[in-house]
Amino acid sequence: MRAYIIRRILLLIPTLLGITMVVFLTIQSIPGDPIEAYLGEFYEEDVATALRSHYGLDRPIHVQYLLWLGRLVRGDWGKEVLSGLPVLDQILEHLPVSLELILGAMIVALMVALPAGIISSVRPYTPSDYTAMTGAMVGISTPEFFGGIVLVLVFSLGLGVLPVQGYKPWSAGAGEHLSHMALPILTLGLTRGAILTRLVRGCMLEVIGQDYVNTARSKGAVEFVVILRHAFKNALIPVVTVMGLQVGFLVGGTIIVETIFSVPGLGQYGINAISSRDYPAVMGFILVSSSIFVLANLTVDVLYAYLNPRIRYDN
Amino acid sequence: MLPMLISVLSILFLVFSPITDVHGAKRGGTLKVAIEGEAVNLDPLGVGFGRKVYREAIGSGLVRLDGNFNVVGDLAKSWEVSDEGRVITFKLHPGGTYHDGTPLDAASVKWNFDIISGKVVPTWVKELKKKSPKYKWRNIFLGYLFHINKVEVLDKYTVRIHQNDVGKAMTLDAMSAAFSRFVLVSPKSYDMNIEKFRRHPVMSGPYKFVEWKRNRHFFAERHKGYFRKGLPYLDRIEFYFMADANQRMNALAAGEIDIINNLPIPLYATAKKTPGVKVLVGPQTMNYAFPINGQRAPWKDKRVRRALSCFGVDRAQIVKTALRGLAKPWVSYSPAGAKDALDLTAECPFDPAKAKALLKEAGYGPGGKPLKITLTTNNSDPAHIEVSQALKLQFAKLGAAMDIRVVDYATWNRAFVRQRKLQLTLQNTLSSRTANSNSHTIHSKSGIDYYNMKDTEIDRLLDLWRSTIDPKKQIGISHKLQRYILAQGYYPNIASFSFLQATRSDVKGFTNLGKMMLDYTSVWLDR
Repeated sequence: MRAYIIRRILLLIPTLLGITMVVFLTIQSIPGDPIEAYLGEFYEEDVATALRSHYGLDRPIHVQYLLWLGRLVRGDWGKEVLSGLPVLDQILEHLPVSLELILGAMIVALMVALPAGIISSVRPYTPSDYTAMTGAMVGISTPEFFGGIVLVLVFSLGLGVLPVQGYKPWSAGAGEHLSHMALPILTLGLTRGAILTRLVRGCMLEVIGQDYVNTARSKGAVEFVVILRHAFKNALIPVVTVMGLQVGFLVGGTIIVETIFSVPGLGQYGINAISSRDYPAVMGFILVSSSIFVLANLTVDVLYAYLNPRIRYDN
Repeated sequence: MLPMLISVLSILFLVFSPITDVHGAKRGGTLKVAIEGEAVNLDPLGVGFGRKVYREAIGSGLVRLDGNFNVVGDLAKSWEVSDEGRVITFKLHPGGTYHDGTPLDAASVKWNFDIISGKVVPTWVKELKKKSPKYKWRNIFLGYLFHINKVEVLDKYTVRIHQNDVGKAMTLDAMSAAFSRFVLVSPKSYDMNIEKFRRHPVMSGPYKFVEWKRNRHFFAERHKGYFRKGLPYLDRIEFYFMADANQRMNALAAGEIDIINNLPIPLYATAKKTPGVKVLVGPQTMNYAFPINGQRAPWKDKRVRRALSCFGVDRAQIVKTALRGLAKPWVSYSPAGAKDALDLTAECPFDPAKAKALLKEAGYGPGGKPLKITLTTNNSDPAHIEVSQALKLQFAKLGAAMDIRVVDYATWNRAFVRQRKLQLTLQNTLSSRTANSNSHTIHSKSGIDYYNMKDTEIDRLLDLWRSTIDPKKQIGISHKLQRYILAQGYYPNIASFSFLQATRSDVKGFTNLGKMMLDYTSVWLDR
C-alpha cells in the first residue's frame, strides 16, 4: 500500500507539469497581457514595451515557462505582475478560506445525503422516499448561482438571520465567522448533498437485498446494525468515488459561490488573476487547484482499501 | 428639585446625543460602500476605477467639482488666472498635512507637478532603471497636464504654474474632473519605497489609509490634519469589494452596506422600490455609442457612416427596451448633461428610407454589394448584448448583415483601443463636462485616439478650444465641433445616460457626481 501511495504521489509530478504547460500555453494565446491590464486604456506604447521587458514578458513563451518552472522548483512562485505581491503569500492567504468552504460543503452534503439516502433505501416507494428524491432532484437541477440567491432571499432578506455576503475571519469571533460562511457553505453543500443522496439510495438498494445482508438478518442482528454495519459499509465504495470527484467540482464551484457571496477565497483569486492575465498568479492558482483535485482522488483510492479489504493495490 | 432634574437631564442629553454640526450634520459613524471593481495596487498615479474610488476617499487635489459640476477649490483656497490664461496662481489652505505628517505646502505641490513633467524622477524609478535600463515610468496625469512647463513656489502657501498656449484652457477642467483626478501624494513616502506605497498610500485627503485586503476590503479613518477644518464628519469609511451586482443590491437592502457606488441599469427598478433605499440619478453626462473605426471599410465612405450612424438607428426603441427608459435619445458628441450640450437629435431622425438610399448611393444593397459588418463588444455590461441585438435587427431592415462577437474586457480593450482593428463596437463612455473632457479619443495627436477619425479639422477645433479661455467662446467652438462630427457621421451615438448610485436613506450629504468624482468629505449618517 505504501509503495502504491508513493508511486501515485510521484505520478503527480508529470500530471501537474502537463497541466501547467497546457494552461501556460493557453493563457498566453489569449489576447491581452498583464501590462495592458495594469496600464488600462490610455498609455503610450513605449511605456508598455519597457514594462514588458522589465518583467520578462517579451521573451519567448517556452523561455518564460521554463523560467517560471525553475523558480517554482526553488520554492519561488514568483510575484504578481500587477501588484508585485508574492504569489505564494497570496495563495496561502486565500487557500484556507476555500478549503474551509470545501470541507464545510462536504460535511453539509454528507449530513444531508447519508440519512436521506439510507432512509429512502430502507423505505423505498414510501412518502419519505418520494420526499427525499424530490428534494434531491430539485437540488441537482438548481444551479449554484440560483440556489445562492434563493438562500439569500430566505435567510438574509426574509428572516434576517444570516448576512447577505462578506467574510469575517475567525479572529472576529466564531459566531461572526460562521454566520458569514453559512450561506456559501449551504449553497455548495446542498447541491452536492442532492447528488450524493440519490447515489447513496441507489447503492444501498443494490446491497440491501444481497445474501450476506439477509444472512445477517437471519442471525438475528438488529436491523439498525444490519443496515449500518453490513449494508452501508459496502454501499459506500461508489459513494466515496463520487465524493472524490465532487471535491474537484467543488474547487470549480467555489469560483461561483465566492463571487456571489464576496468570499475572498482561492476561486475569487483565480478569476481575478485570469481576467487580468496575471500569468504568475494564474499559474499558482491552477497548480493549487489541480493539486487539490489530484490529491482528493488519491485519498479516495486509499479509502477504497479500507472500505473493501479485497482491494490490494500492491498486487 | 424639578429645575435641578431638568438640568441634569439636559446635561445627560447633551453628553450622550450625537455631536451635531452647525449645518445639522451629525458627526461620527462608519460609512460602508460596496464597490464592483478591485484595485491592482494603491498607487494613485495609475488608472482603474477601483483605484479611483480609493484615491478620492483618501486623496485631495488643488481643485474639485461641486454638486453643480462647477470647478471649486479643494486644497486651493483661491486662484488667479493671468497672462491670457498662461499663468495660474493658486493660494493654498494653510496648516494641512499629508497623512504621514509632512506639511501640505507649496513646495510639496510643486514636487507633485514636477514628477508629472519628469523634472523630478522618484528615487525608486532611478533604482529600477539601474537594475533594468529599459524601465520606463510615466505619471498618469501627463496625458492631461502635458502643457504645464514650469511650476514655482512663491511662498509657503502660494504656487504658480506656467503653461503653453495650447492646453492652458483645460487645466482646471482636467485637474478637477478627468477620470484620473489630479491628487497629491506625500513626496517623502512616494519617493523612496513604491512597493510600500502601493500597499500603504500616503496622501492628503479627508480620510487616512488604515488597511487594504485585496478582493476583500479597504478601510480608512478620519485624517486629523485635513486642511478643511471640521471635515470630514465620519469617523471611518469602509469599502467592500462585491463583484456580483445582485449581492450589492441585497447587501444594501439588508442594511449591511450604505452606498452602492455604481448601480447597473437593470437594478434601478429594484432599488427604487426597496424600503430604506434611495436612488441617486446623476446628470446625463455619459453617452451610449457604437463607435466605428473611421479608417476601416465600409466606414471610409461618408454615405455609409451617415446611413447607419444617423438615419438607420431607432434610438427611441433602444432606449425604451435595452436601456429601460433610463436614457435620452441623443446624437451629439457632448452628452446631454454636459456644459456645452447641443441637441442635434432632430437632425438624425429614424428614417430607414433615407438610410437605404444613402447605402444604395454608396453601392450597397439590392443590385449592389452586400453590406456585412461585425460588431465586437465585451461582456462587462449586460446591456451591451441587448443593445447589440437591437442594432442587428435594425440594420437587417436596411439590408446590412451584422455579426455580433462578444469577448472579455481585456481582449476587447486590446482590439479596440490598442490595435484599433475593430470594425464596430459598443461603448458607454466616461463622463464628460465638455467636448474636451474625453477628446483624447478623437484628437489624432493624442496617441490614444481610438475612434480613429484622423481628421485635421477636429484637431484644429480641439486645439482652438484648448487655447480659448473665454467659456462662451469655448462653447461656440464646441458646438462647431459637434456639428462637424455629426455631419461627417464619425460618432454614432445612441443616447445620453446618467451614472446611477444607491444609498441607504439615512446617508446624507452624498452627491452623485456622474462618475467624474466621488466625494465622501461631507457625507454624514443620520442615525
